[in-house]
Amino acid sequence: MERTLALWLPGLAQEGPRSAEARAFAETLGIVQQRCPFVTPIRLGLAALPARGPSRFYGGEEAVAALLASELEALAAASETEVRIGVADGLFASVMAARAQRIVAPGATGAFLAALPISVLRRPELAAICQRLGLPTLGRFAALDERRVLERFGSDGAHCHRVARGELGELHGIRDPHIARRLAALEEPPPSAAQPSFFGGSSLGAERAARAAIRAQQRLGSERVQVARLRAGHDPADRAELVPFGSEEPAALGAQAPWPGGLPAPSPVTVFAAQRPVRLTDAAGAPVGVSARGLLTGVPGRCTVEGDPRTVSIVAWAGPWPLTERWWDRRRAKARLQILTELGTGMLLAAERTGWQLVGRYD
Amino acid sequence: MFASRTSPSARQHRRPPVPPALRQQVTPVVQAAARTLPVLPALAGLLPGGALRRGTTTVVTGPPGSGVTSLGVALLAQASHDGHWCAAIGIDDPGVVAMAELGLDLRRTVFIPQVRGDWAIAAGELLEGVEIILLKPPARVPHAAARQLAARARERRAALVVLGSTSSAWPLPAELTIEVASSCWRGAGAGEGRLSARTVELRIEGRGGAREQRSSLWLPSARGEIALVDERG
Repeated sequence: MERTLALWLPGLAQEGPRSAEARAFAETLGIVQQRCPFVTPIRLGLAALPARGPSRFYGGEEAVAALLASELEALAAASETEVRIGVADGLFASVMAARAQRIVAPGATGAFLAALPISVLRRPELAAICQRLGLPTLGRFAALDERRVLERFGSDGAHCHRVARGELGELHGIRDPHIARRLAALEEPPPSAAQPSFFGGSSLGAERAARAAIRAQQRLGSERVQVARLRAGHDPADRAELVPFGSEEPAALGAQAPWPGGLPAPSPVTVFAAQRPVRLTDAAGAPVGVSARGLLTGVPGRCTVEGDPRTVSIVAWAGPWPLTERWWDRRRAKARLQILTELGTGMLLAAERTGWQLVGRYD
Repeated sequence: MFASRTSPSARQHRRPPVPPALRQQVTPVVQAAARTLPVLPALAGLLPGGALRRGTTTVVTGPPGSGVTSLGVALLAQASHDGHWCAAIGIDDPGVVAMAELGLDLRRTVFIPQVRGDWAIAAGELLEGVEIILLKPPARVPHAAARQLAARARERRAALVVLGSTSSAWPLPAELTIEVASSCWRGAGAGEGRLSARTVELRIEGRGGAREQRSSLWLPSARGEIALVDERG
């Protein structure tokens, strides 16, 4: 089992109002991290780190303990807490060692644990039973037959038994699963007037959502976290845009009047940002296009979307509807067409100079 | 405990039932203590308890192009309208106009499309601030990632709606699975008309196949509503 150094600051173990303890603990981790890598918060007021590396670097485990104690002196005084440091094999033993402010020699962990009272397992029922059975220490408990322990105490008891024997390094329940998040939450800036009140007002839910969105932007890149803006336009692709969260005030998103010339609802729930070429043919395989007069040059029978190996039969279609806006735009589509495939999928196509493109899919 | 017998006087004090029309008009007050998130009236009949239970995972699945995404969005619509914040993660190329037509309130929706391998990170971060997440994982979902996310959602009392497909099935048993068994668009012909309405046949299952239920839904109807298909068709 790994040589582990545990730091225990009992004065920080309970969180009071205004998160002072959490802040002090976060600062503790910062100070320790400057000297020893891989320090991990276990729960509020308790941290651990692998001791082997620092021990080699600073010339022994005593030296590391002394160094950390002196580095943390000022913080400990300011926060009115002790700093207890212990080293042993495995996490559980090192935490016990920290309580006793001891460095337990390698291999001596078994004897050290054996002398501890059963209460250190933090299992009141198990401890009560052990007391009644005359097993006041971990050592006496560890000496029990493991099958009897499983029968009598169940699987959690069997787990504790293995920890008491030194077979397992970590006792269930020793860690607070939320500690990392609690400490990370300390870093976020408090909601201020400078934050965009993007969600229309500063309700509590809006603030929480905005903070989460901003944190997601910090992790993923601001352009990847977006909100929608509706705007005037005829094609479903033109009638809305996604903008990065916080980039600007959204346009009013009230009920939208239907735009003249616009494709009526329902709109496709998938609208491709990058259009995909579509091969549209009749049943015999001859290409079908849109004539200058806006009529189909054949009867749509099959279609193949680029990137999809399948060719599907078309069972129904509607259109083509000519597009009248942006006549000056050389890239504009000439017409739109809805098709329904044999699989029941609805698709919206646009006839462009280069051929048919898949605009949207009615997913 | 004790067998209760209502005495004649007690019966007089029992409240008369709330008329359904009134119940629909009264907007529910958003309570943090509430165990559920509201859904559109037509969808309430599909869900046990008539709403999305906080902390649970609902999987919506079905063949591509059959309405899975629309149904997922519809499940968020009422909650977003009532003031709950939502996120849509992993839905590439979101047709937000269609989503608004389905009832989603775009003012309270954060989109993270094109998320690829970061879907779990994105969902984890957004779970800190939104109450309902619509998630389309882009590829095979590792068991551990799913378990972590579901646990986080339970912790945060948020609802997770996962869009499944054959290539990215949710690896955990969900509290509710809604499968689109088939879908049928109406309105288009041989060039005339337009795609105007769609019915979907749904198969709804609780965890482990409990309470299997079938339902037919307009998604949407010709009037643009989400509604149960009338017996009369």
